[in-house]
Amino acid sequence: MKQLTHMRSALLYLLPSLILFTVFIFYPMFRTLYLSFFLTDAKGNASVAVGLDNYIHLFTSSQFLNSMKATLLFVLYTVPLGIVIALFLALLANEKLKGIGFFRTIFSSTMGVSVAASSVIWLFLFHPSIGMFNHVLQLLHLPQVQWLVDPDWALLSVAITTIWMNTGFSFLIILGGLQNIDQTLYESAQIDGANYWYRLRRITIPMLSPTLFFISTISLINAFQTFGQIDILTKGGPTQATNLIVYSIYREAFVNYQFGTASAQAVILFVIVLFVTILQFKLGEKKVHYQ
Amino acid sequence: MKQVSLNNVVKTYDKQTTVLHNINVTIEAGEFFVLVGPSGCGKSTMLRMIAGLEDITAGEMYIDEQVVNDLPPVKRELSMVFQNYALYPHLTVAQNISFGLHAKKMSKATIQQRVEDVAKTLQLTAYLTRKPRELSGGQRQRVALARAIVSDAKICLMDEPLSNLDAKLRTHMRAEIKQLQRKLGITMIYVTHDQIEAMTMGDRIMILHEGEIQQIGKPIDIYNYPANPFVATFIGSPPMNIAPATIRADGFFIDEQFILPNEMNERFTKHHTLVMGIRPEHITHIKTKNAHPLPITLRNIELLGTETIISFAVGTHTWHARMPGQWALDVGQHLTVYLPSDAFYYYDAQTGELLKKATIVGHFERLGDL
Amino acid sequence: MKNMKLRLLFLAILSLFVLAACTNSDSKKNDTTSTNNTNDNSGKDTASDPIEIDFWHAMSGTAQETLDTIVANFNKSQDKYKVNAQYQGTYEESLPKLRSVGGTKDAPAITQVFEIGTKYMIDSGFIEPIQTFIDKENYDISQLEQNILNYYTVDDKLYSMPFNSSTPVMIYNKDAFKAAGLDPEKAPATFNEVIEAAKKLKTDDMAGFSMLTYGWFFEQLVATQGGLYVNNDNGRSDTATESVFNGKEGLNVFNFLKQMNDDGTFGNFGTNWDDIQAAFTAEKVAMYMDSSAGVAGMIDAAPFDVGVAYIPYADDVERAGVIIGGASLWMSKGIEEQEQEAAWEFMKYLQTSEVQAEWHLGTGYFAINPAAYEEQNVKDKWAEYPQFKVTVDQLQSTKESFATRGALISVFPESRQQIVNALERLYQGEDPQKALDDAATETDKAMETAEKANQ
Repeated sequence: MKQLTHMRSALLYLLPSLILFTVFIFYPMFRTLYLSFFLTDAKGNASVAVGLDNYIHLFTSSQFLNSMKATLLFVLYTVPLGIVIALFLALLANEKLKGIGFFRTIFSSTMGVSVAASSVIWLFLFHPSIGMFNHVLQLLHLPQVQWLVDPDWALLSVAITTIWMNTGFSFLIILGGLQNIDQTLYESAQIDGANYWYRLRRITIPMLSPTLFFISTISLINAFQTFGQIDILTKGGPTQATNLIVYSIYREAFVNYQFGTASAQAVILFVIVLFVTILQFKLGEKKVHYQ
Repeated sequence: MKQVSLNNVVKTYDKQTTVLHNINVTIEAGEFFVLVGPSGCGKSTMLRMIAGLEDITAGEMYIDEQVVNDLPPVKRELSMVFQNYALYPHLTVAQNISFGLHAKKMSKATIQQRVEDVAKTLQLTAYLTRKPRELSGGQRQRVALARAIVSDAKICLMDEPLSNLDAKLRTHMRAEIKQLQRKLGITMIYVTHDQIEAMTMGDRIMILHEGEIQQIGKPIDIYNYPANPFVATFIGSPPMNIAPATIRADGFFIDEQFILPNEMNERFTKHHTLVMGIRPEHITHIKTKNAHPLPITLRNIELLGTETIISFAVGTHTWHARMPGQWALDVGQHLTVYLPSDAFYYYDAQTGELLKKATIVGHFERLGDL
Repeated sequence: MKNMKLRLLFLAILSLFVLAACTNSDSKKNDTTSTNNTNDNSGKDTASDPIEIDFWHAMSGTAQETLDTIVANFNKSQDKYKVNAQYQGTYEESLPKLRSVGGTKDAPAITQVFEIGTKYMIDSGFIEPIQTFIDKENYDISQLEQNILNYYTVDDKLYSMPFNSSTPVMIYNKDAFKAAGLDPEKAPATFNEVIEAAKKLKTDDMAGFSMLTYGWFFEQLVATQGGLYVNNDNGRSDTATESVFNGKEGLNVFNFLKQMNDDGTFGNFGTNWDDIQAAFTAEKVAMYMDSSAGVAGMIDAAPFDVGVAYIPYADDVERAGVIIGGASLWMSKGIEEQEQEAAWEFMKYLQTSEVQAEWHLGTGYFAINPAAYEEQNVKDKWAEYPQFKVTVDQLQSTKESFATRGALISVFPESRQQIVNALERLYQGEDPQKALDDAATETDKAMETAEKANQ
């Protein structure tokens, strides 16, 4: 009897968050899953039940498979390099030097720039005729690069932009992690005669592993969900080279008004991200040393 | 075995705050040298300067005959135990112990041999594969010690290594560290704020206060002849009772309260005021020769079993007396205690200079005398 | 027990707050409609309360400023109606918003929808054809530009009121023409002439010709040869079921572009309108295709003499003309009759020659009422910028046909994306016919899916 009362009051306490989650997360999720088995009419309502047809269609569509490939490549380009750069900058900024606060601010500043603003900045840098990059190449007498127009370069260009945008956040988190490492560990190692690289390899990296694990998980999920810079820089082109899954979902839903296939893509993306995250936890966590 | 000497060593931060003034000291080879002082006195800074973790602003430091001011820590061939042990949480005990040996690129066989030996010495053999978080506080302490001695360095620095342990374990480890130091014959420089550790462990101790050396010497000499009021109150528990006193023709007064008749007036003529001190154990309840009565009112009584510590007001100061045995006393009770005149220390009120030592101390009792 | 009750009460209040927060925006909307309703009711008795309607548009920048002025003038010109112009994002962004309120009382009375959304809007059931109002009061629309009306007339019914209209033109650098020994007053007219001119204009720094990688230009180049985009007379006799843009005319266009791409005279500046315009002003390309609405801005921005010409056509056919682009205004169904009346009055106001003159001068879009071109301020401007006349001439000389009326399909946005893909693949060396066929197949699939979903 007492347990029942406890259960009831527990549920009551949970009610507000349950309502919020239901309205904003569970309902949209199940609605997406539901829609993925239908075709939708002009008003966006489910009209024809097609079972798994949307999924079968996607997995046989070269364009969707291309989107998946582009997304995976994009993740590969941005996540490891982004973390390495952020780590490098954080190591620099963690040195006790005069005026280091200035550099810390600079390195983390991209965090304060919105996706839209930074994409526009890069749009100008990449500009085929008046952009700075091509101008510099010209000064160096190197061939011009069609950064966003050449299918071989576009994904890389967007990846560079993304790395730049995400560096601030990763930098800040990693710097925080670095500053959390007990200084006496380094002092002890210094007395033991460990050089910089040995300390980096044997102390910094293992001690930073929870932070790095967190950052890699976040970056991975972010990379899978990239949208803004694609929309502004390339609109998925050229030749679909940058048509990442989320952008493809957007086009399918809001340009082509096919909510069914868009939902199916969303479900597939969800499964992939879930799978990758689980995989990461399974593999990565063994190498993480929590204090 | 190596000798460490500091010659006019100064440490200043940001060219403004001087935390150590003109430190001159020679720590003999094989000596157990304790740096003691209240927190913020500069003792840890001094230790870190010896280790090479802090720059020396001015002066020279020698290890044996070599000037080591600009030598990196590793070249100084010493080991160090940190207050928090600085164990690597992601490494096993064995890996923690061998960390420095790997860094010095020793052969695997040597490393294994040394780790096993050290583990045996410190009874850590059973824990070699554990991670630090799976160890008790005392075991972690031992790992830190093991890491310090495995390198075979001739100088060992310890920064408050026992402060994280409970009282019982601390007493035990004091003895263990002392034995280890003797056995290995290393030069030990040991920082603590605990005067009992200093007294019990040090061959010699150095008392630091506000960046200045107060006194260096054997523990018992410092206890018997504290060089200034700071040392007098820092060493000993309860501390020495001291108070500024006024000299008049008819005697010494503390806050208008008569303490002693002025028997040696002529010695202090140039002083108008000075600081008088007496250790609690020299205040007695029995009238002896040269002892002067002092009527008191009991403020507090601590029954410790082997002794009873009473406190009472002398002028505006609270003094303590240590009486052997167990006493049935009440707070507020009036009592007369006796102050032997040869138990008093006299310090200059301005400079803190010791003007006259107590003569009651310094007579060691020997077994043969019985 | 008492405690329990208190807790319950607290939680109930809390969850009410949460619910209130969730539904906040909706309740506001309801509030405004209910005030509207009271306004409407009282409007019958007193003339002082105007009927308010919402007008959703997608105009930003200078076009928005001009539009806001026009709306303000309308509101000032009478006291019966009040129009609230609301920018709802780009065409792509405002359409999904409309979908959530379309056909209900909360829908805006007027919505601006891009031309390729025409079929979608007709099928949506959200709207009342403009023809209804024209018939009701025998409104004379013959004053309006016939070539523009043609686009929005389906089954002899005018569905929406044309508003901002533009066509493609070819813009070229007269100074570069002179430098290359070409006649700056006579732009190349056919594909082959353009190809030849591009060769002469090409320098190390400057490409000869360029075209934004955008489906609209492809549609125009097909239409000007008299070619259709989809079957069933461009979807105007019956619902289109198959794309035909991969036929002869489409292939002509792709071969035309491929030829210049192979020659190295074609400059590819991607899918971004700003990029290609910047390339032109930076003298990185000598000729390119732009919207007639961009002409004024380009003349001002370019540091050289700018020429404007008709878009090129295939050598072996006759020039058919251009399809209208831009957007039109749609009347909502399901709103109060009075609101429809207000919207209709506003639409009529927009057609007057003074307003159209203002619109034309402020934005560069065509005047849908050609009488506007007789207004003095327009004449003055044309004297200053003779290039404007070229754009109007091209539109007015267009021969009416199913090709130039433009295709009517609901999956146009997707089809355009497929054309973009095909163009990009073409520039990467893909076979023109193959690229076109793939785009056609994807368009067909999309049409089939849409057909199935909307049965």
